[in-house]
Amino acid sequence: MGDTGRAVARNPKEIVARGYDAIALRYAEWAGQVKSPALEWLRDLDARLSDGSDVLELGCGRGVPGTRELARRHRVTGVDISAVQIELARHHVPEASFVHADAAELDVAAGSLDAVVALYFFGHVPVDEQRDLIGRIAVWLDDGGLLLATFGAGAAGEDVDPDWLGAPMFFASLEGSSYIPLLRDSGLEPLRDEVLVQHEPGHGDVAFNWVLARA
Amino acid sequence: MEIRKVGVVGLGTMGAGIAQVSVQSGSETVGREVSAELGERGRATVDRYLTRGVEKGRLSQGERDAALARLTLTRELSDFADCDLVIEAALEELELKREIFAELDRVTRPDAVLATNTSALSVSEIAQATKRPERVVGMHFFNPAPVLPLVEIVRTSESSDEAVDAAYAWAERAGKQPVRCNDTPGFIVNRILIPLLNDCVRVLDEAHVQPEDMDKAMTNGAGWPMGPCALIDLIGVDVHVHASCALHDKLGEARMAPPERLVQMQQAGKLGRKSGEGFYKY
Repeated sequence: MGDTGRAVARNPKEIVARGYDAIALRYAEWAGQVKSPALEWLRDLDARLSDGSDVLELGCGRGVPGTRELARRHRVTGVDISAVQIELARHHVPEASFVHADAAELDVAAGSLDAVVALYFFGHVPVDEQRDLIGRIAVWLDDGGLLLATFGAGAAGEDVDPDWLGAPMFFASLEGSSYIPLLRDSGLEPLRDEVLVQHEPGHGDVAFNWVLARA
Repeated sequence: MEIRKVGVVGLGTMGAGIAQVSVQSGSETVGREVSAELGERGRATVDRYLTRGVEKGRLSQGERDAALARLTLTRELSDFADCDLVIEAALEELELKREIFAELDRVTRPDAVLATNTSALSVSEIAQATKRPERVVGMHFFNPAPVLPLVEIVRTSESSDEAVDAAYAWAERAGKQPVRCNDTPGFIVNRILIPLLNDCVRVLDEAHVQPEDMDKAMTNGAGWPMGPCALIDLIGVDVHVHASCALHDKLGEARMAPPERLVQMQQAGKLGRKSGEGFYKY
């Protein structure tokens, strides 16, 4: 992969952070055109939670529509590695709390969360950090707590798209079939899991593994 | 002020149609999409309709070539720096439009007129994202924009006469039939048409009328150019339901809320012409 390959090896997180800083507006316009099943899954999660649940959202982006939907009834903390996205989220969803951080660096008390949401998030986490992070999420969740997440549904790998909506972007995934066993090994039992294909304007059809799991 | 150069934000169905109107009016036009692929798709839409116009004898090959040559593509809003008018046709999401207008405010000339093609959101709330709300107006085109003559020129309480007049004059020069209205929910047409179409759908169920008979009744009895069911199929059931919900949220009248039948059609994927089935099969 030449120069981009070395950039991946050097700092994928910086690529993600700088990328989402740079493309904030274009990403918002583009993502809004994607017919994503996110709201339906978020509403399913919401219906399973009691009022005022503690919810952590990883990769919350600009906070709409996901964080805002959850913040209607719950105490939501959104985390994102992009400073620009967090700034937008604070503006759009003042009722939620936001932290500009790398999810891998978070210090969360064991059993302190009722739900963790990670939509279109793991696709930007380096492969060698994904197993550990899933394990840590399982620890953060209270007994019966819920994880709603999307995972890659294809082959394992890491890649940098040099021009993703105008900036380099890092993508990663474990083998799609490895996530469900990994969740079970971590003590998270899938309640719903479906591979869903979404059409991404200008990019084509992309499959994600949607999972709602219970600790 | 005279408008010579126009920017269009978003080259989806509405944006590409507006860009076509603009290039055909003789204005240099910058079309902005989020990626090169989507920009080219927008240009292809304009090209397709212009070429069809040549085939049908509505314009010459030379006019088509000249019009298409007036369209340049970008994915940077900063390329609107020398535009006199920017028309935003992005998604109907208030936060997004406010982010776009805040950025347009930073990158365009202070005297440029900034217009939104919103159909359901408050133009005033969008304008407040800028430091020049007096230069912000609504320009509500109807789908398909190159075909339907009406453009609602929407004035907020802060819009200047000059900005409203400039937008009106440009629309008129582009061969449209602009009307002036204020920033009230649904402006003129949707405020009337949405509850009216909802009434028609409710009558289907309340009076046990078939869509074919409803359309026959309204075209032959009320002189409508198209029946309400065929019209909803053309608009798109999802688009109509979304607009209904927005109007109902703002005005609270029961007639504004989408009828249950339309909500069920939307959930079943029966969206009208674009999905192959709505009230009718296509």
